[in-house]
Amino acid sequence: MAVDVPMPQKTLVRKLSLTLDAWAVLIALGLAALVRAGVLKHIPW
Amino acid sequence: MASPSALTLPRPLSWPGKFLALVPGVVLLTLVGLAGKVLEQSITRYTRTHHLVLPNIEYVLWAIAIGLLISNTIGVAEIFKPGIATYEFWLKSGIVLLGARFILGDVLRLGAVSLVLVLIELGLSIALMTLLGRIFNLSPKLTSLLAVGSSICGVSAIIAAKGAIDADDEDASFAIAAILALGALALFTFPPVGHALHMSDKLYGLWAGTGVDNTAEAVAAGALYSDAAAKIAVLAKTTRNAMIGFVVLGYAIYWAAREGRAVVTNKGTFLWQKFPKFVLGFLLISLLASVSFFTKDQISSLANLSRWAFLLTFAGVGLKINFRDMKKQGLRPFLVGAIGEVAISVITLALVLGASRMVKL
Repeated sequence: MAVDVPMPQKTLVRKLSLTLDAWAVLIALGLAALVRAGVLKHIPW
Repeated sequence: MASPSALTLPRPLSWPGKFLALVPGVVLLTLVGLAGKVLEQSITRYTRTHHLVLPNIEYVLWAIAIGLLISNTIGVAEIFKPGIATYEFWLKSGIVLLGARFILGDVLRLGAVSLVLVLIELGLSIALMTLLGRIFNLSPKLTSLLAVGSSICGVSAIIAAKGAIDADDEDASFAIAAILALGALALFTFPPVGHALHMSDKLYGLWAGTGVDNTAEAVAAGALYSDAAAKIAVLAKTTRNAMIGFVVLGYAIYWAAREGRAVVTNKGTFLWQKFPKFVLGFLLISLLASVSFFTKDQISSLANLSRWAFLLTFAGVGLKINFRDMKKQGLRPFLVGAIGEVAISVITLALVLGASRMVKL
């Protein structure tokens, strides 16, 4: 017997899809900006 | 009749859901990495107070060893896997931040030397792997994937090439398993060879960057030698990674022509899509550091942030090595990879030593 399965709705919202590389660059640049602005200081190791 | 609810597809996770799914694995990466660091410090303190002379085992090796132990004994539960997979993200963020420790002039000078070595290594690796694939009667696409993986940057290159040459999932998983197994072996063989040959940090770093396939393992092999060697290994490996688009494009054109498929039409877009963008981030931070955009203290903070990112990477390297899974993949691809890798390691070692006689490194 055929079962009526609802089709997934097409989303109209454009998804923010960045590659892993792009995320890595953005986060690293964000951290560098925070260090430059003096928000992050003397990071220990 | 089946209830309609039973046929409903699982909903994809929302943004907060996806983020939360990463937390357990990232916490595990942090704990394993920290355990490695604490072990190194505790042993150093103990040997110093008790006036013992023991070889210093770096946190890098401890983090990898603890990860490896967990993965191959109790195993890694599913809940941790999404977070552990972020180790590549930490690796790339760490490389971008490491750019602060390079003056752009050094990047260009060492990068130029690396580029020449990488181009020779690329040609020789591809020719060697193709020959070995034929001798061992591997499928031509698996041979292409092994050649791409061993000549450029391991897993990322295999994944990029898989789509471009329309290879099977099975071939790709064979090639990935072989490259990962051999990368793990490199961690334990490269540093002793470097020490036995009394290689300088620069020479060893160049060798690790050009000889070890997967980026995470190349950085770890460098860090196992010294901090300075890791820095050079990152530079050499980044130069090699930058070649990924050209090699994958070459293979895509070759396989399209062989199978009578449409050839890649827009080569510029193809190259841009395959180009590892973190290389640009690394160059940008290096440029900013070179024009004194950051103070000395800030550069030190950025270098430490990069070390923390690498700490999570090294923990991930150990946690993803599973010997049982590797055994399942079969012996022949592994054997081809192993013979090829030993030959490539010897060739790159000879290239680096030869270059050091011709150019001041």
